[in-house]
Amino acid sequence: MALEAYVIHLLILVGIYIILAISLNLAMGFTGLLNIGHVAFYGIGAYTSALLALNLGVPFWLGLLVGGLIAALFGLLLAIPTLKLKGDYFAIATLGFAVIIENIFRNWISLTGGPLGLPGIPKPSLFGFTFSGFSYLILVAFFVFLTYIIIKHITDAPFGRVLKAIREDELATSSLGKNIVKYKTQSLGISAFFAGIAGSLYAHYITFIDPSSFTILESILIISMIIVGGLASMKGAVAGAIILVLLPEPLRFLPLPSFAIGALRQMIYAALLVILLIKRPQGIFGEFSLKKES
Amino acid sequence: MAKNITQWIVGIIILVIVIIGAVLIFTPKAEVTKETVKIGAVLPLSGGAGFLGQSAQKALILAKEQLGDTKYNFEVIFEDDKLSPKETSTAANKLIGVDGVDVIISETSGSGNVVTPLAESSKIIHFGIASDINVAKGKYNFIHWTPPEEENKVFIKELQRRGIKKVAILGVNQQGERVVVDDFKKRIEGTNIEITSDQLFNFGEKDFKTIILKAKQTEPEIYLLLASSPELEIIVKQIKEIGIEEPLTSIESFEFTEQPEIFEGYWYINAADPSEEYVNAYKQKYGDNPFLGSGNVYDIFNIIVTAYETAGKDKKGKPTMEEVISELENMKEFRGALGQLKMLDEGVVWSGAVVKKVRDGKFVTIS
Amino acid sequence: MENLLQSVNFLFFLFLLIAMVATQLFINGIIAGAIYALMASSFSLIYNIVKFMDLSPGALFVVSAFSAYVFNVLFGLNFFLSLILALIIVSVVTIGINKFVYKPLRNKNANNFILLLASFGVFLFITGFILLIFGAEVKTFGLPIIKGYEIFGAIITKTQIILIVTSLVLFLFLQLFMKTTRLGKAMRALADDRQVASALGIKVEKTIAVTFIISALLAGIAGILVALEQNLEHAMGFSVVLKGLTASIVGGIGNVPAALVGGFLIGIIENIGIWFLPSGYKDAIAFVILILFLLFRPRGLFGTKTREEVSG
Repeated sequence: MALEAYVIHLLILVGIYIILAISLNLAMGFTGLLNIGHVAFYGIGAYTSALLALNLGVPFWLGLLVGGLIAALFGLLLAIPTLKLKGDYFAIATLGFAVIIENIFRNWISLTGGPLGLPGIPKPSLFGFTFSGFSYLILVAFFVFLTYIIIKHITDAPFGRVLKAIREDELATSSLGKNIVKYKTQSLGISAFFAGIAGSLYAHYITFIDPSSFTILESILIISMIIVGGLASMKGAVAGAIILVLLPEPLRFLPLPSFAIGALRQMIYAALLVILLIKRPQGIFGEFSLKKES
Repeated sequence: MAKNITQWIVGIIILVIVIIGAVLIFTPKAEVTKETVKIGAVLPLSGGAGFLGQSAQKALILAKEQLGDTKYNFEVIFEDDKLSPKETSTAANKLIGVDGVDVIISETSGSGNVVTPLAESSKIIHFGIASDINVAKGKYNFIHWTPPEEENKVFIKELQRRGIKKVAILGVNQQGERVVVDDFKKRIEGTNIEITSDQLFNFGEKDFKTIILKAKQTEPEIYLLLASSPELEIIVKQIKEIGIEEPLTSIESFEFTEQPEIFEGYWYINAADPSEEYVNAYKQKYGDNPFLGSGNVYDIFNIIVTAYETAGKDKKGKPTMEEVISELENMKEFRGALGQLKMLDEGVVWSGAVVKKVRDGKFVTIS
Repeated sequence: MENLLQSVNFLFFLFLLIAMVATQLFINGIIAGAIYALMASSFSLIYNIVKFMDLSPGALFVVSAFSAYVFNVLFGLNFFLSLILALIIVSVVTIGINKFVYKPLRNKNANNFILLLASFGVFLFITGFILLIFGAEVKTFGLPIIKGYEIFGAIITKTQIILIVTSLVLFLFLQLFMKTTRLGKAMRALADDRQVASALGIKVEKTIAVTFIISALLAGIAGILVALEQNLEHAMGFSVVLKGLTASIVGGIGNVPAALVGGFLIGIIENIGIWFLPSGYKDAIAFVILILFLLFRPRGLFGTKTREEVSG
């Protein structure tokens, strides 16, 4: 094994997070839905796909699709009651949702294995060829490409313009006759679908998942990616994912005492987030920032 | 606007390159007089389980220090995985790809399960400190953990010896705990021992008062606490504060505490029983007591050293992976920090369990 | 006749048993609730007066506990002195957070979500710092273990009584302060309508600073109490600040006193909940309650009507 294995691994992670960032961007950046619970959809997709493969021998391709659909279903379920909540109330409700889902992953042992997690998730295969290492990277790249194209298409289309209008001024948009609830729900559902796909890709790559992979902190990481990159910017989401996955890695090589490394990483990362929010909340590519409603 | 963004991106890329470059230039190159065996350790050095990983790290450093003259140079490289599978995977990939380690050590079943397939595909040796037998799957993977069957056999014998029939279990919701309890349930079938209450709580829980109350209602004769610090001390405190006087017992955990007084008078099962010399050496160097699992890591280091030294005795350069694995598989007896060890067929390093008691703040073997 | 007597006897003891268990459950709930109530008041003050959801009380909770630990256990200073020093440190930290993070953001007219996110960043930074300095090993104040007192068949320890009493007393002080002092009235005026308050000559920035300090003191005291009752570790503030947030919303937005009720309620429901469900679901229980309130009664139990409810 050479250096490539490490680089390929990082690129696979980058790819998965790009999908997560772009999908969250659709709901948060374009539609203005402040979803702190995005990680729950990621986890639901991962567990669904893994359980189908482990218990029913469902092939990866179908598991991926079903994982995405179940995640989307939960997106819709979350949307229905919470969409009437404004701003930070909605955010807190999604936070609660994510905690509840994580609790279920951890405590519904007969279904999810609880903290034991699910080991031995099979890698995807096609006509006898198993995807691993570099071929898995190609697979992930394919889905990143697909996700990017589809979501870009959605946001460029009239549908996307309505979403942006909703974000800017919900009252005005609704007075123009648009069914706000329908648009928001669809946006959240689609966002959840792709997060679920990312989850499935993650599960079949690491081949082991447990509840600790799907905590609130993951959500904060993904939110940071789209803030760094710039809300409502497709390029921004990609850039944000790349930066936040790769940036901590060089720290690993610094000759620091190991006990301190973890703490320092957390501090540096948090400081970067805060500084960015203060100095440049529109991120790298964003054209606007979330300003207070007057 | 565009210029600004470009500046930012270029700035970040330059920063990253500078950092990596600085490290590569300034890291002192190891002297290449002996062949080096690189051992990578993926440990939870920060986060909720930080104390677990840090103690293991200290044990490895101690083991390396105590190494006498060896044919090969043994180098240990640490990576933090925060007990998160994503981080474990990245850390393991880095150790394998960038550092080119020959052996990798992981801690807990969760991390072990991530490393096991990687070790198998990269053809490097992996030692996990885990209770999940899946971690030892494949010829490159081994685990060093007392099998639950061993612990429960000794435990049940002691329960029967004392005529205790009703046991209430308060355990942490974790891989190792469930494996032990499932095995316990199987073994008490046909005996007159029964579990009156079986409760789980999550890591990080601090308020056990209600689940203690639930257990108390079932009128057990003894409380089996399957938890370790810091939850363990709080549970004991809250049990005593509520006035429960029945004895408390545990498998493995009573010794890894800074407050042995609170366990005064209780008997318990200790697996992976660390030897006095190990505990003293650790204490002398670091000032505090070694934590659960650190003795295992210490032993793993020495097992690896022995395997390499024996396999490579008459060779020029390092032995092949196959030769080292063959040495490991044939390791019948080994005296480690955890006492007499032997290698079982499935790649499991067996260590025994004993009954101990806390007498005058000291841990005394009574079986 | 004897049968009847026997059954009555049996029922009486059964009732007594249930009552004793119920009382203990209730007491367990109040003990947890007292902490949540303190955090809820801390959170609620900022939310009502500065108008954003701030998670930094969770970090201040940890800073206070560790500071008191350093002074009392490591330096051997008198406990009350350590307490005061810890609270001073916490006040300084919160002024720092306000000055370097929140004020710049407020000046840029940042929206609530950004402030919430920034507060997350502050929380992670501070707890990371604590981890760096103190390591991951859990610390305790090492108080002796003594069986608690028996009240109505339930057991409660001295520390736990102090916890509950402190929570109630602080709360009363807070009420008095808000109602009678000039600063307190200024805070309430800001909560009602900032522009009018400012027009009336109230020094907005100074009042906000005081609000943060009082909030920090509440969180700080909660931190020390929990450290005495349980233990100290760097991640101890996360769950508790979220419960405080939940309790504020359940108790009622726009109503700091209601935070107290919310806190105790959450504590009690959690404990009753884990009597019937596996204890791992404890956090989920609190959040289910949160979501139910957000959906069906966003103003909480005692809150005034929220902006949403008024405008429809």
